[in-house]
Amino acid sequence: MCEVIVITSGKGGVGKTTSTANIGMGLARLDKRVARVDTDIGLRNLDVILGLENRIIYNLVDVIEGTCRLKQALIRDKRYANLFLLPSAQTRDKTSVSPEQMKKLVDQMREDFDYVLLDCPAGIEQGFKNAIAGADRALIVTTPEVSAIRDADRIIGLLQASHIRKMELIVNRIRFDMIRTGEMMSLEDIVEILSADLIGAVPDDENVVIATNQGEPLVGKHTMAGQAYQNICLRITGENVPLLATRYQGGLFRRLTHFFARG
Amino acid sequence: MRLFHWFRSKRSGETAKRRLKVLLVSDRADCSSELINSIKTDIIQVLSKYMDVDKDHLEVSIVQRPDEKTGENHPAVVARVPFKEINKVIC
Repeated sequence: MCEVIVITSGKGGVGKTTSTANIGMGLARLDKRVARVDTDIGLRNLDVILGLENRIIYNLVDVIEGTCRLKQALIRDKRYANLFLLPSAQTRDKTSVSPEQMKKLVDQMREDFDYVLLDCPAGIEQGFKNAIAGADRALIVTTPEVSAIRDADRIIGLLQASHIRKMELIVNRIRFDMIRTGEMMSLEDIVEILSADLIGAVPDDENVVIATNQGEPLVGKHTMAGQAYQNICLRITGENVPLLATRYQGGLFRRLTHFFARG
Repeated sequence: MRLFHWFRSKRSGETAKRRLKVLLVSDRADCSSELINSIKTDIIQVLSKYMDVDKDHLEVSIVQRPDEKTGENHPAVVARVPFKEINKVIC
């Protein structure tokens, strides 16, 4: 039984592609057969985050136009044999593909995979409509900022008007120290404002930048963000995993220096 | 000087939450012209008991209005209901 999940946000730069990369790899670590599809036609990004940019021969538009077969375009991830990428086209634009064509492609992929993850472009236009067309479930990525939450609300409204019934929230770039001092909205605040189900919170972690530089997702590594993504994957598969500690983690010394730094 | 930080009544997280709540009310209302239309229908229905409402020139909108005391913006429904004449029976 395959589940097709679209990862979307409305606003750009909140971590859709990073989330897609990490969730894909996290699910593969759980022995699922996973395909990640970059649906951002014209602005291809997922391949570089994954470090697979040198292995692209065919892309999504080639498959849809029948230039190649699906199997020819899928790139097997060098780290996991059960993990694949279908890259987007860099030299085309969003109008090259219609929602119906996307849905047909995704349905074709259902037979071969446990999970198909669709990395949605920013915005609410054609690219968004293409990406959600074949999806069963949506993960909405947001950050604790007014603009990102506003856009997430708009996306939730659009998803509610679509065929997608299951949608959950990923709050990215959480700073627990700032939440503690009241300078950042808490997870509870965000969930209350958006009245959506929370599937995970990813701490703001410099390791994400390092991982992106290297083209190596950090899921499962001993980093805060890596752990958070692995937990999200477990929750996607239906396991009940508690949220990471939401309080500022630090020893007495850290807490004291923190206290005086503020005062 | 950062001591003032401790006494400041509202932290920025709280401000963000308050701004978002106001913002989303009007965003959500903007999205649904359906909502406005059903408000219009209901207003006409209620007021028609008392007056002959000019249905074609009825205006209903959701706007941000500053509170008189605090000056903070709050969403408000504003309706302009022109009528032709008051029902004589009622008056």
